Amino acid sequence: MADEEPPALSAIARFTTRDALFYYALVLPAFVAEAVFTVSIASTPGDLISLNSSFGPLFADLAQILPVVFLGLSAYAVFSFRLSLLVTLLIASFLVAMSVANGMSILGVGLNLEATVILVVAATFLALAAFNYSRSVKLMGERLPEVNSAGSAGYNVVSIALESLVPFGAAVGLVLLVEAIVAAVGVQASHLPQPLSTLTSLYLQTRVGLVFTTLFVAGAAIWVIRQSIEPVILHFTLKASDAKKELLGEIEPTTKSVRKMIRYRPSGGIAWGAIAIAYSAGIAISLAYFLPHGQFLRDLSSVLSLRPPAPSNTELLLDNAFQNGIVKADILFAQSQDYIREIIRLVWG
Amino acid sequence: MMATGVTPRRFAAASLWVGIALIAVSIYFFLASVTLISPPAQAVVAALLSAVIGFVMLSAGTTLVRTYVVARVVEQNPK
Repeated sequence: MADEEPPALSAIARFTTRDALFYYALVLPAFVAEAVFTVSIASTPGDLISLNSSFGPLFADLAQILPVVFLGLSAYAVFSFRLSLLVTLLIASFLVAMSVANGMSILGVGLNLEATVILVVAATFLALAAFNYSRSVKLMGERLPEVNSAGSAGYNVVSIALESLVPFGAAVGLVLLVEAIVAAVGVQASHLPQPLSTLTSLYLQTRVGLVFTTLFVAGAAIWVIRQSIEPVILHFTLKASDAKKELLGEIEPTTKSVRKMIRYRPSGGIAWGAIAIAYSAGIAISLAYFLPHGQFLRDLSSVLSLRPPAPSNTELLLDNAFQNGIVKADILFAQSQDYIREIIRLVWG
Repeated sequence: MMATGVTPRRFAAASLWVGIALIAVSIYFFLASVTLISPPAQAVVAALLSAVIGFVMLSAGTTLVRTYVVARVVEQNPK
């Protein structure tokens, strides 16, 4: 006897199940963060709008609709399960808000840079958890997952720690490490030789510089963690078939270049001969078309009879004009050299 | 000639030890970069160079270890 198919849910019922509501709750912080960032951009666009510029009013209008556009795209990302789009929108709104907005607040409480970074990191992690949850719900369907463990309680503790506590601890540790390194960079900038010291200090005083430095340091820290952990994880999880694919992928650039070298056959030079003939014919036709009437034929006959052609008045004028142009270019080049030397002398002494 | 019955290892464990040595050297350079900017030292440029060398060494070392791990898995399951 065949299993009975579960009754099909309506569109509204599908999006309001208990799992769906849990999924919405997990992505809600990302929505709130985006709303805070985009509203602050729209209310205090700052340097984004230059009133003297012809595009100023256009940017002002675009800034006003920014919250609606970002939240609309985020809703699309949530309902179509596109995590990368949601996180990209969150980071983009965060960067723009840090660069141009003059102040941010949530429920009347002002947000400084540290609080904003924590909000973004927490919202991103919760969004990741939401997408993982939704994926597991989609994969499992109506079936119940087997979560019983036959091992001792210690294994369960280790399993829970690896799944939940280690990523959370790593995230918190990463935030603290990045904050310490960025603070150290700010202090060490004053010890650099001039003009690097002034340039670095000015760069770190800007919000954009601080944000990009933070992102760079965080990226480097994540890269180090990934490089250190990846071989260990591969050692315990890699299957032979995947390992072969990995190895083939590593030598693929070399094999491609070797195949290309083997396939290479030197041409007989016919193509280059045809190009040279076509080029010469093009020059001859151009000269015949642009030179004064009969000039081309006169010059050609002079060349063939090995006599120097007598330049026409037009040619003399053109020749003088070209000579003047060359002299002018030489003067400009010499002046630009002097300018560059002066800049180098001012900057590096 | 008598067969020994032991399959010779084609991918030597030397790459693993060289990789670990490179990682250890990279840690030394990272520590050196911290030392170079700790008071009273103020050699910021030397510290930056040391950190860059550390990153390069770490990349080389972990790549060697990773390749060793992958090759070992393939060696143990040749078919």
